[in-house]
Amino acid sequence: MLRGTHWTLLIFSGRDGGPADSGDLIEVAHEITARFPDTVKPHLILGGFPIADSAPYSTTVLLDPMNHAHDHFGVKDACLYLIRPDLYLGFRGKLNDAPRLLEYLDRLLVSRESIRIPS
Amino acid sequence: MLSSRPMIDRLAAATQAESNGKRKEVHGVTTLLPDFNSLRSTMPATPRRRPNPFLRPFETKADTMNGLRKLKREGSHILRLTIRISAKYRQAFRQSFDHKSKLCDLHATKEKSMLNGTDQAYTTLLKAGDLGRAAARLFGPFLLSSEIVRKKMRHTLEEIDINYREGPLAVDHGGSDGPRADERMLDSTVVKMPGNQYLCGKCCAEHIGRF
Repeated sequence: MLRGTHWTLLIFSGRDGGPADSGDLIEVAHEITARFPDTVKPHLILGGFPIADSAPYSTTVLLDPMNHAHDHFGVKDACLYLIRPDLYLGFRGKLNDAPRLLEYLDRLLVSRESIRIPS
Repeated sequence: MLSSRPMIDRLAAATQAESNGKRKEVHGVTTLLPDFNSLRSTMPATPRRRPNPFLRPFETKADTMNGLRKLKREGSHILRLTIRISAKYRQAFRQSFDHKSKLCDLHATKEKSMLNGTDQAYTTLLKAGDLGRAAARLFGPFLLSSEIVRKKMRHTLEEIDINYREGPLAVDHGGSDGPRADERMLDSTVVKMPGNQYLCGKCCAEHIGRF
């Protein structure tokens, strides 16, 4: 999952989070995918036993029913973890720190919007 | 196993008494039992404890003088080792000094001193004298059985303890009690499920992968 030269974004839903609360999480994942499509790979980690949702996820979803991953990372509420290609954590923040995450990525990476193809 | 040998001896004596036609109770053990003589022959004898040469008192004046000379030699080795490690740390610290920023790179210093320290430790272990070997035998098992030491070794080998906090590539806004930005990513088990979903944790043994 982490092997390669890409950056990995782990979006934790929180221990009791589920599809009912996952709209914001998916929005963050979409935003990241749109701006850094080949560079950053977002993964949603849903804690607890989420109610099955018929809406298909466009991003990878990791189910964490026993909250092992959440306990491992000490996560209680929704949280963002960005992992660099050297397997060190580059960014950690709450879900509402998503704009700061984008600022951080803009500082380090070249987004799709900034590339101008000469006509 | 060894502690049951006196009992087996008694049982063997009882079996012997029966085979001699003198059926009687030996130490309260009945003789309606298998032949314990053969069993006794298979039992290993209690090993005799070898005297520890380092705990043996010096018998003669020559022994005492030899012991003191050995102690002096080993003590000087340990002292020289300590001085070399501290000198290498200072040297690495000096080398990391940046004249522009007037700062020393503590991480580089730590890495260099760690490399030099482990190198020195391995050399010491491999070329240890009598006192060094005795110290390793005496304190080694105690140190290695300590959970703190084992955790430290494991984390060092897995590079978990190496971090670059306050580095320019780290932005930390909290949000969890786990690892912070610019620490090593934790390893975790991922179980692949059909489709685009995975299962984190230890629930299933099939298709186990790693983050």
